[in-house]
Amino acid sequence: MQTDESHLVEQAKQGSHTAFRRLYDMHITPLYRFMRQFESNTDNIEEWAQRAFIKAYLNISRFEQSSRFSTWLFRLALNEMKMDKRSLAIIPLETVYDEDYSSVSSDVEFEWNDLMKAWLSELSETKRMVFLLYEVEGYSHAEIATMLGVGESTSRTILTRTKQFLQKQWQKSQEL
Amino acid sequence: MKPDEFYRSSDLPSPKAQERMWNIIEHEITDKRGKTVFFLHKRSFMYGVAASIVLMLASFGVYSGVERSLANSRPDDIKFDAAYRSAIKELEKVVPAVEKTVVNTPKADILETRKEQIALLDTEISILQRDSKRGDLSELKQTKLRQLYRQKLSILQEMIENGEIPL
Repeated sequence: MQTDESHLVEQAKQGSHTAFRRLYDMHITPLYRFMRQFESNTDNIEEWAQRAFIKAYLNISRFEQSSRFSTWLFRLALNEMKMDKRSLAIIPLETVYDEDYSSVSSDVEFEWNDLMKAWLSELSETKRMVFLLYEVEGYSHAEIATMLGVGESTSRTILTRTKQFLQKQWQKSQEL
Repeated sequence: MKPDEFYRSSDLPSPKAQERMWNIIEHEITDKRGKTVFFLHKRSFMYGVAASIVLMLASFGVYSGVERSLANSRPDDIKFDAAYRSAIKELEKVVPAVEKTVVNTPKADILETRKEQIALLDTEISILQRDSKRGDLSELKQTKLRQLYRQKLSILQEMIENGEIPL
């Protein structure tokens, strides 16, 4: 898969629209469904996805394959989304500062159930992003840090705190 | 957690939406690439035109400068010679050729004399011009050459003023 993607990226660098179309087919659904969690207007999601792919194509010669194509693509799309949300003031995005969260324990037992999706929606955008990227989309903290422009330890800490919150909510529901 | 467990079908882009997005992307990347190439070509063309204009102006400036410089550095005798020849040439443009006029006008005798005078002057002038080109032009010869020019000019002027030749 990775080798296949590298090959497609190389072909796209040579100007192959066919190769780029295959990259699009591979990544449009994960990108779209992820952004869908943060935006109800599908026109906006389509707009951000389109802009991300256009930027990716126009700058693909600068893309070094030390990271995954999807990591780079997600970062481009999230930048587009953040930029528009800031300028349109749709949702006030929180600024994430790198801090030392080494004291926060990551040993949180997490058990998924349907209610947790509702609890998750109560959290900030950044916390939901980190949770989804790590737990659902399967990205590493290093990749999430690249996408969101935060430190790797910050990503790790945000995930731990999110899980702690979900665990607490789950325990409460069990007591009822 | 698997993505299928988390996302609902409503979270996914429909095939129609996927195709719509791709069409826009493809149009944009094709269009932008075309624009880039055209822009580069256009830019190269404009640079070429600008360079040509600059080169042409520079060449003209150099040529004018050299010509002016050469003209200024000429000896006085050559400057006088050039000035007289230029004046005579301009006058002869206005006056029809003397040879033709002699044949076709009633004042043939007068014009025949004028023709002989001018022919003599031309011969003398051409001899002194040859000497001048060889650098052999003493002050006496220079004075003589100027006198010859003045005489020729004077004859042409008289011919015009006396109505000896039609204008």
